Amino acid sequence: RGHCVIVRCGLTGFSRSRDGMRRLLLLCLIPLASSRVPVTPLRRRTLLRVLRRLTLDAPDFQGDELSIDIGGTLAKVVLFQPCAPPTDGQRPRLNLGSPRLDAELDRVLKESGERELSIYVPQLGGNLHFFVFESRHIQEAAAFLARRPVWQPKRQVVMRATGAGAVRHKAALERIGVMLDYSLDTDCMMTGLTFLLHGIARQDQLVALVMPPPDQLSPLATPAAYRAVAQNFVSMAQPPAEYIYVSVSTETLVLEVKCGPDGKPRHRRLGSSCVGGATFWGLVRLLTACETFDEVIRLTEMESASSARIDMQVGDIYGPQSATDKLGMKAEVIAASFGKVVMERDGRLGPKFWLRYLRALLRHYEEGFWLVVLVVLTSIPGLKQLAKLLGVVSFAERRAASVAMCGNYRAHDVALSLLRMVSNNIGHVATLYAQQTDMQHIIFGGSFIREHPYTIATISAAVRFFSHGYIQPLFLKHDCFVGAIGAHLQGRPAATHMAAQPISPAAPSPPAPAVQTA
Amino acid sequence: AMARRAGAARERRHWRFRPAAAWLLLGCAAPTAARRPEPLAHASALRLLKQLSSEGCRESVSIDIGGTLAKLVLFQPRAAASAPSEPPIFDTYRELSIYVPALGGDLHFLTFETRHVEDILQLVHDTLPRPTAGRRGPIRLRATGGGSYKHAAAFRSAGLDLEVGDEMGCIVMGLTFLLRNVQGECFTLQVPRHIALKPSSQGADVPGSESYLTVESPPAHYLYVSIGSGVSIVEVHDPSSSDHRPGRSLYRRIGGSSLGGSTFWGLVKLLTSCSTFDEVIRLTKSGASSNIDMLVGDIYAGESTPGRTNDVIAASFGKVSMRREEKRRVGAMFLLRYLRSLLRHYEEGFWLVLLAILNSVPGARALGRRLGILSLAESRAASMVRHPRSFLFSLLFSLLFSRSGVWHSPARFLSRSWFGRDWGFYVGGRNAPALLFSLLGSDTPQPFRASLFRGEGPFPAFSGLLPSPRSTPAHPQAMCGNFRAHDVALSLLRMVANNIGHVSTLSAQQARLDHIIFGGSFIRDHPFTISTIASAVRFYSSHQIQPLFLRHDGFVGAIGAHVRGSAVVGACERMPQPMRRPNGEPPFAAPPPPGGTP
Repeated sequence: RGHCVIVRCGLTGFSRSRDGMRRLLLLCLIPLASSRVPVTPLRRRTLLRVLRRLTLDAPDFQGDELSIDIGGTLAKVVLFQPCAPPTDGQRPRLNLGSPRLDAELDRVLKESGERELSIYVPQLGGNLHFFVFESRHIQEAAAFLARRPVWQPKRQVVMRATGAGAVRHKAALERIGVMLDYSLDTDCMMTGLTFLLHGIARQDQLVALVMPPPDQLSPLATPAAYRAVAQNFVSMAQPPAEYIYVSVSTETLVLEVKCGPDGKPRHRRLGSSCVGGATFWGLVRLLTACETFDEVIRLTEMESASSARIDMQVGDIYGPQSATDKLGMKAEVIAASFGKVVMERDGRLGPKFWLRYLRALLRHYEEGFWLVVLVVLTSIPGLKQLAKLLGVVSFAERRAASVAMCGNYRAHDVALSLLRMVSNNIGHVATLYAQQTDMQHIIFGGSFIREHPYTIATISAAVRFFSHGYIQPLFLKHDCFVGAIGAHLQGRPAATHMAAQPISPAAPSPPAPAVQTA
Repeated sequence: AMARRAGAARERRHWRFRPAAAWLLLGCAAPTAARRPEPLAHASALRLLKQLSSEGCRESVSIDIGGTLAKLVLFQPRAAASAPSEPPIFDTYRELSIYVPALGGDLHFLTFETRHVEDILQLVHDTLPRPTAGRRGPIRLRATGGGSYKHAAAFRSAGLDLEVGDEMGCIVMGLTFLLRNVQGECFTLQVPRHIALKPSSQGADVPGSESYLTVESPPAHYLYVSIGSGVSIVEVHDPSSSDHRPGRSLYRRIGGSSLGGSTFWGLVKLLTSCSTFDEVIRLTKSGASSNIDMLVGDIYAGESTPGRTNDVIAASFGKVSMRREEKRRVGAMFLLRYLRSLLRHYEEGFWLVLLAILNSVPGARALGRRLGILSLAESRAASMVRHPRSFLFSLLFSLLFSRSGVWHSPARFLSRSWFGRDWGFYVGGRNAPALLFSLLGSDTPQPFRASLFRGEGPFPAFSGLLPSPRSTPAHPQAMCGNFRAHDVALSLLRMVANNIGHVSTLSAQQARLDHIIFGGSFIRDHPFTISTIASAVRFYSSHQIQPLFLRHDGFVGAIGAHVRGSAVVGACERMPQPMRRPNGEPPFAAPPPPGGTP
C-alpha cells in the first residue's frame, strides 16, 4: 500500500518534490576544490521514483544494466544506458524515457545549479550513471524493480551485485523475484579500479594532492589551513602500475595490486582495519546533534572550527619551544586525539560559573530560535523554496548545529577532531601496509572520502608524514563506485583484457627471528 | 598466574594492615583493596613534596611527566636483610613496590595527574621555605617526559631542580633495567587459538589466571609500544639481555599514533558521565560491544564464507551509523528535535544555576561537595543523555553515599588528628554502605560483590543471596543517546586496543621483529585491555608475533630516569634512521625528521 501512495505522489507531484529531484543527481565533475557538492545518498522516495521510471516505463528492462554494490551503510548503483556519443557541448545525462520528463529534469537541474554524475564511456558505447542510497532501503527498492502491473507477464530481474550486503540480502531478494548475479567484492573492486585507471579515455580519473614536503607541512588544524593545500589538486596523467588500494567505506580494506608477468594486474587482500567511515560517523552521531553526513561535513568546514581545542598537541606536552628544539617536531603535531578533554580542569569557581551559565543560556535560546525558524520554513511549501534561494535554510541549519555544544566543547571542534583522528589512522595503517609491501603509491577510494577535500587533505598529510614523504597518496574521482563499476564490467568484452586476477595466496612467511643490528 | 598471584598477595597484605578495631566498629566492612589507588590527589602530592623537603635526599625521587599522568618513582635504600620499608606516603601502588638488590633498596611507585602540576608547584612555592635561606639547597629530581621541559621553569621557581633525561633514552633504559633485574616482570597472555581469532563480543571476558604466563627469558630484539596519552613505538635491540649484565643496547623510534589512551578516555568523558578511569573500566565489564560495533557476521548475515569469521569486528561504531539519517528533514520531526533540545537545555540551565549558587556562596560549596550535589550537578550539566530512571538513582546515591560522601572525609580527618595515621581510609570510604550498595546493584567494591555473588572472598555467608552480577549491572541505566553507555565504553576500549594492536603488529612486521612489549599507563593491569591487545596482535599477525606485557607498565620511563647514569644499566644508543629506499633519492620529497601524527 505504501508503494502505491508513493507512486502516485511521484506521478502527480513532480514540482512539489523538487527537493528530491534536486538530490537525485549528484556531483559536478569540475575541479574538486571549487565544487563543494559531496555525493549525497538518494532519499527513499527519490530512489523509488527513479526505479519506477526505469522499470514500469521501460518494458524491456531486464536488470542487466543495473549493477549494485551493497555495502554496510550505503548501496552504490551504476546504471548503464547505451546511447550515441555526445556531440560537443552536450554532457551525458540520465534519460528517463519520455521527453516531458526529460525537460522537467533539465529545468529542475538548472534551477538547483547541480549537474548529474554521469560519464560517457566509448568502450561500452553508452553512459554510466551513478547514484547512492542507503543499504537499508535495498529490499524495498528491489521489490520495486520486480513489480509489474497485473496485466503484464511476470519477468525475472537479474542484477549484477557485489559487496557484503549482496550476500546478506541474497535470499531475501530472491524471494521477491530479484536475482543477484554475485561477484566477489575484491574482484569487482579491482576490475572497476583498473577500468577507471586504464580503460576510460579521459585521463583525469586519478587525483593527487600536491603537498609541501612534510617538514614544511602546515598542520591542518583549521579549515583555513587546509584550503591553501586544497588548491593543489592535480590530475595524474599516468596511473601507477603497482599500488596499494585502500577502500574506506564502512570498514577499511587494504588490497595490494601488482603487475603480473602477462601485463595484467594481480591483486591480494592484505588486511582490514575496524576504524573506518562508520567509526567516524557513529561517533559523530553520538557526540553531536548532526543527523546527516553532509551536515557533519559542513560542520567541519566552518571557519571557526579547530581541532586544537580537543586534541593534545606536542606543544601542549613539551611546551611550544622545546617541542621543536628537543623533538624536532612541530608543536602543532597531534600527540593524542581528544587529549585536552582528559586534561579539562574541573574546579571552576563562582563568577565563572555564572558566565558559563549565561553563555549556555544564550546559546540554547539561539539554537531553539533557529530550529523554530527551520520548522516554519520547511513546513510551508512556498516559503521553503524562497528561503532556499535566499540561503536562509542553510544558514539556519549551520547556526543550529554550530551553536550546539558537546559537553564543554563546541560541536564543530569535536567533529573536526574525530575526522582527523579517523583520517590519520587510515593514512597510518595504509602507509604501514605500503611500506611492508614496498609500494610507492596508495590509491584511496570508498564512500567515506566522497571527494571531500578536507578528508583528502588529511589522509594525504598523514601518508606523507608517516612515510617521510616516500609514498604518494592518490585519490579517485568516482571513489564510491569502484565496486559497482567492476560488477557491471564483470565478464563483458570491454573489460576482459583488463580483468584483474587474485594472487594465489602464498603461506605468510614467518618473520625473521632476529635482525641485524647497526 | 603471576598476575593472579600478585592480586592474592596484595589482598593478604591488606588484610594484615587492617586494624581490628575498625572491624569491630563496622561489623561488615568490605575490603577496598582490590582496586588500585587512583592518581594521587592534590593534597597527597603536596604532602609528598613537603616530606621530601624535610627529609632531604634520603629518598630519591624520579618523575616522568607525561601528557595526562605524572609518574613518580621513590627510592628507599635498605639492607637486604631488613624488613620491607614502609613507603613514605600512603598512596603508593603497594603491590608494585619492589626490592632491587642491584640498587640496594626499594622502589615505590605513585602517580598524579599532570594537570595538577602547576597547582602543586604553586603551593610548594608558597609553602616551602626558600632554598636561599641557607639551610639546604634546592631539591633535585630526576625527570623525563615532555612535561619536564614544559614545566621546568615552574619547578625551578618552586625550589625543585630537574635533571631532565631524553624521553626515549629513559624509556629504553628503564625497560632494559626492568627486564634484566626484576624477576617475573614480563608476562604474556596465553589465549587459545580459536578465542584469539574471534575477539568475543559479549561483555569483557576476562581470561582466567591460568592464561597469564611469566616470561622467564625476555627477548633480545623487540618492539616496545608505549601507550600513554598517545602511542610511541620504539625498536630495541638489547643483545646482552639474557646474561643479566649491563650491556650496550640500541634503539630507534619508528613511529607513533595519536589514537591512544587519551582518545579512549576523552571520548568516554564526552560520551558518558564517568568521572574516573576505574569507573569506566567497571562500566565496560557489563557491556556488549556487539550492540555498537558492526561485526563481519552483521554484514554477511551469518553466512560465513571460507576464511572469514563472523565474530570479528568489521567496523567500530558501525551499528550507530546505521540509524536513520532522514528523520529530521520532515517538519514535525524538527519540532520534536526542538522540544527535546529545549528540555535538555532547561535541565542543563537548572544545574548550571545550582552550580553557580553553590559556588558563589562560601559555605555552600563545601557542603555541596560533601553531599555529592556538586559532582552530580556537574555531570548532569555536562551530559544530558542518561535515562531518567538512572537520574533518580544517581540523585539518591549521590546524596546518600558518594565517593566523597558523608562518612569518608570526617573519618579520615579524625583519625589523622587523633592517631596521626590515616586509618580513616579503612573506617570511612565505601565500607559502611557497601552492603546497601550491593543490594541496590550500584557502585560496589569488587571483592564484596564477589563474595555476594559467587561465594568467594571474605564473606561466604552472603554467597548466593543475589543473582549473578550479569543480571544486576553496576550502572543500571546509564545511557548514551539511544545506546547503553556500557556498550559504548566497551566498544571504544576495543576500538582503541584493536587499533594499537594492529598498528604495532604492522610496525613489528616491517622491522622484522617477532616480539612486541606493551607498556604505558593505558594498560593499567586491566585484564580486558591486555587480552584485547593480545588477541589483536595474534589476529593481525596470524600468530607469528608474540605480545608481551609488563608489571610496571606505566613506570618504565620514571625507572629509566632513576637508573640513568648508574652502573646497573649499560650504554644506550640511538640507531640511525634507515633510508627507506637504499638506492637513491626519495621520490617525492626530502625525508623529514621522524614524528608522531600530523
